[in-house]
Amino acid sequence: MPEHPPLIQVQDVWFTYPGGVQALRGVNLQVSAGERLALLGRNGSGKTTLAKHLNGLLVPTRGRVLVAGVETVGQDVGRLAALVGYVFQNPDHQLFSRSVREELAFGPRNLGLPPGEVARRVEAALRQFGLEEAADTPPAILGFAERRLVAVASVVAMRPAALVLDEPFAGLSWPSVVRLGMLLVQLAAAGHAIILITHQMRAVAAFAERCVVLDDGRVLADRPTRETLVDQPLLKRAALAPPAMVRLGQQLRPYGFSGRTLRVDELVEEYQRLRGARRERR
Amino acid sequence: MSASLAWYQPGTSWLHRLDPRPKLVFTVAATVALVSLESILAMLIFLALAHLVLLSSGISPRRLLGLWRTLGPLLLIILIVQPLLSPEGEQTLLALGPLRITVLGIALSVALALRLVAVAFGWYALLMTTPQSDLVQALVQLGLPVAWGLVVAMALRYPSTLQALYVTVREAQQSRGLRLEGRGLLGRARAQLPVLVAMLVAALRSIERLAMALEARGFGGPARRSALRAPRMRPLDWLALVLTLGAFAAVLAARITLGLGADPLSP
Repeated sequence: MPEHPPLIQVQDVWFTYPGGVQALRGVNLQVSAGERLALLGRNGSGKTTLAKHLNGLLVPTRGRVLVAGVETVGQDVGRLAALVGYVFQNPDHQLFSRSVREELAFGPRNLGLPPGEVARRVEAALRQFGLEEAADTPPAILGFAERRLVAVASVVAMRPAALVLDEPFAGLSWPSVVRLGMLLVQLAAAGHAIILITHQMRAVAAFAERCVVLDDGRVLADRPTRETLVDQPLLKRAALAPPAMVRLGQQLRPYGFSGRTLRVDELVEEYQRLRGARRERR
Repeated sequence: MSASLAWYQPGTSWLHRLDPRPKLVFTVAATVALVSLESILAMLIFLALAHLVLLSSGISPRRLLGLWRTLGPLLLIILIVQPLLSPEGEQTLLALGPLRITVLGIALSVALALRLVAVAFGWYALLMTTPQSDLVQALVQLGLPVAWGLVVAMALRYPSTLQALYVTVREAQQSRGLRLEGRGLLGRARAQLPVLVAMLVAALRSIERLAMALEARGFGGPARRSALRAPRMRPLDWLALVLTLGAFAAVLAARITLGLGADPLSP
């Protein structure tokens, strides 16, 4: 258990859209600093609705959401942005500046930081995301993968305690996914809480340490990634499919494999161990 | 999310069931007639009828009130500015330097404002009770080229698409600390810039993609298009059409030969 109170507390949150669609039905969730959490669930299960509660874009119909101990109701989204950053699914929905550098400065400026600090954060984010060469390019003419990186960097430059990313891997090639995923791991190691919405189970296996499975506006499971991805009945209920490596590991169980490996490296390691053990027996 | 720009209200009322063609003809005829008339009384009669028609087709009073509220600011401007611009007639109510407000000037501006509402309600009645696809199909059946029909369909669809896009982009920028409220009129306008620029770029991108997607599905190809649903005129639709044209002819005749409705205060 963390010694500090959790960064984000979602307490029995219900939410109904104005049109009458009940999107959340009693969700409870706690997120602490440094966590890498994935929100999983089929389309329409409530992932984005829940994520939008974390920075006050939506406020609960019933129940409450606390960010750093303060309730989100009545708080300005612009103010909460300092604590919870939110990267939207489509980078084109947030990029508007004449250069990548200006794009990255937009958020920190909105926080009212002094110019020196804005410049420091922008340069740090440019370096961290490997965007130095594109710094003076208009983001609109960059390729999709780079626009996505700029969109994430523009929120990271605000140094929010928690970072919510809605489908950050959608439309990216696997190397681009890895590049972004590794950056998220670094950010978590530096103390940021990372909350991912994604359908890319391979990326979940690689970069998330905890999974919250939503279905029909309720939390179906909230467990470590391994316990989630190897639980076939659970995934089936949530209309999710395990990544190929998990399926392979599970199908190799008759040959002595544990069926609990998530990634290529884990499976290879297990194979080597099994082979070594067999040799010793001979 | 507000859906105020999604015009069509699904329903099964008599007006919903009417073929879109007579409805379209009625709306165009009513617009021409209203533009040719000046009479406040005529506008009021048309408006009363339009309200009755809309209410009888299951459109909620709240929705109608919403329309009035949407038009409100424009009406207010007309009522304030128009009398100053048209100081016609003998009876002066107020004179201040070069500015003169006359009874006729006020009457004219009231007529203008009411005409605007009346025309708007005429078109709302059409759009609220006719699915857009049927409307476009009707236009094509009346002889509009298919490509133009598609343009109309998209023009009708775009406001709600853009509104949804605006909301998303605004949320994205607010999530980056953008404050939209306070800081005076100029500040508030400036704060919209990150939203509007991003929205414009996204809209242009999506238009380009849409155009390509349409072409990729054979739009503009050489084949003669077929229609999924081609509404048929039933006897009742013909009756509506004849009544509409008859009423239109009567109004025009009365306007031209008898001079009815030629000035705002006469019948």
